[in-house]
Amino acid sequence: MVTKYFKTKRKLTLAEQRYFMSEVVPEFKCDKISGGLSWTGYLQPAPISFNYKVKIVYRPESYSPKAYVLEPKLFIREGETSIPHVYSGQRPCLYLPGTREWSPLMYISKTIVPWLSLWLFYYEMWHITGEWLGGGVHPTTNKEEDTLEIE
Amino acid sequence: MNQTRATIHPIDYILERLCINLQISDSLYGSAEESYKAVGNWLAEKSDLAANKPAIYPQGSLKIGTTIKPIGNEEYDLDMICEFGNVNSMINPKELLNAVYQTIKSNSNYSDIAELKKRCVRINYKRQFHLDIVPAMPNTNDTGTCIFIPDKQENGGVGVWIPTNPKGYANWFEERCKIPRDILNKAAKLEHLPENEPFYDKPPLKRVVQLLKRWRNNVYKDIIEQAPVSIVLTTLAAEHYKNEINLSDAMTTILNSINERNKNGYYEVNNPTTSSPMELLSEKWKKNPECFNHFVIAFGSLTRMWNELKNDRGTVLENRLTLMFGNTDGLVKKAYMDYNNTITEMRKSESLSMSKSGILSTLGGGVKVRPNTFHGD
Repeated sequence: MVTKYFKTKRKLTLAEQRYFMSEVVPEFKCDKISGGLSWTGYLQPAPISFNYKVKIVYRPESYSPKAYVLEPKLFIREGETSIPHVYSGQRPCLYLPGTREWSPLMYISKTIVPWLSLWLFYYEMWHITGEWLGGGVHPTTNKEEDTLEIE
Repeated sequence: MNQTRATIHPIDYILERLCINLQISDSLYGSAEESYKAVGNWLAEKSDLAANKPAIYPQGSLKIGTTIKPIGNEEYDLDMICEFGNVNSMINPKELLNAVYQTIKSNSNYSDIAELKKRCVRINYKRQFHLDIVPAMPNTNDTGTCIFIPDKQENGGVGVWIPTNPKGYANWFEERCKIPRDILNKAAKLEHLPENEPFYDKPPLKRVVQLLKRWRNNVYKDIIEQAPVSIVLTTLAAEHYKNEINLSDAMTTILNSINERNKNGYYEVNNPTTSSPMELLSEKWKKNPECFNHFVIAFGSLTRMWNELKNDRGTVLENRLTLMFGNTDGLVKKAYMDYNNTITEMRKSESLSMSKSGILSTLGGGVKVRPNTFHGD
């Protein structure tokens, strides 16, 4: 049974993150890496979407979880210069840092994973419609899009 | 894959939305209905023909709910029958058509916009549609709803009576659309339909007819005079439909089955609700076999594309839909936009959840998608 809470009162251990990942996305493969864990698996955001191979890397002492899209490779839409809402290395930016949208008190499985699926959904819609329809913030341009309310 | 959704094919999520966008807008529909009633009431009650007690009723796609938006500057075409119960049976087709034309011309509302056509009097409204008024008289060989309508050009310009049966055809088509209760019950046990999904708004057969008409308008856009008429596509689809409960299964059966039939060479499509005499619907193919040959080739290509499209996903699916149905009016993109809106609305109301394979929906069972703000360098 998946817990209904998305965060706890203390920092979650790697073992706990691993356990709750296996509850939410049981097909994801978990690997030990130096200082942390990585998970590899497939996400298909909608029945009409591609099935994407993704990887999540977490080293709690060094950084917040990082999400990568392995296959099919992300690419820039014709006529555009970049993919919206990615860090360098075309790594999806899933939440706003410094806002506590994500913290080590939270389950990766209930935050990063669904957000990555959502990001992939909007990425595909961006290719099809030419518009990023998922809202968000681009700090460098200071341009605010239709930002969703943050709790 | 979620077993409970076994009978919804993924591409139905986008095809249903495509069909909804093919329908004419409520405002255009309202305006058309108003015009139809105005001219119908006047003809039946106040015109010089009122004494002949004409019965006015709709026919064609308006009646059976398979109307689609025209592409570009084309007009939406509405048909109505004006059936005279007590007209001199010796009247010739040309005379009847002329009598109706003169009567309509006499009304100052229509005098400048009425046009005499081969089989009807057309009223060209300046509002994206025209109304074809088809005069008719009962077919006395038949005790049911069969009628004769005039064609003023046939028979060397003398004109002929064409047998038809709009009421009977509409009833036949509606019957073909019905899915037997036992098949529906069985499906209901298998499926949990996602909320906010426009499934079963219209029976799958009507959706297939809408898609076939759109495909025709797209593929024949430069040679529209060679295109199969809507009633031929509608009749073929209805004849080959086998009670599939979802759109893509219905499409697969109908396309492959018509395509097989096409391989056996020339055939004719008759109105299944006429008998003595029979109404030939595929008149164009009889007059010009090239049109039939072209149809066979184009339809073969459609069937092959469809069979591949069923397994397409993502941008590949969007590309092929654009190829099949055209996007000059933004139809395909609009369907994706609508799909996006469903997901985005659910996200905003925090009712979105994610399944074990990543699928986002309101079905529940997975994890809730928490609010987030996409960020970036």
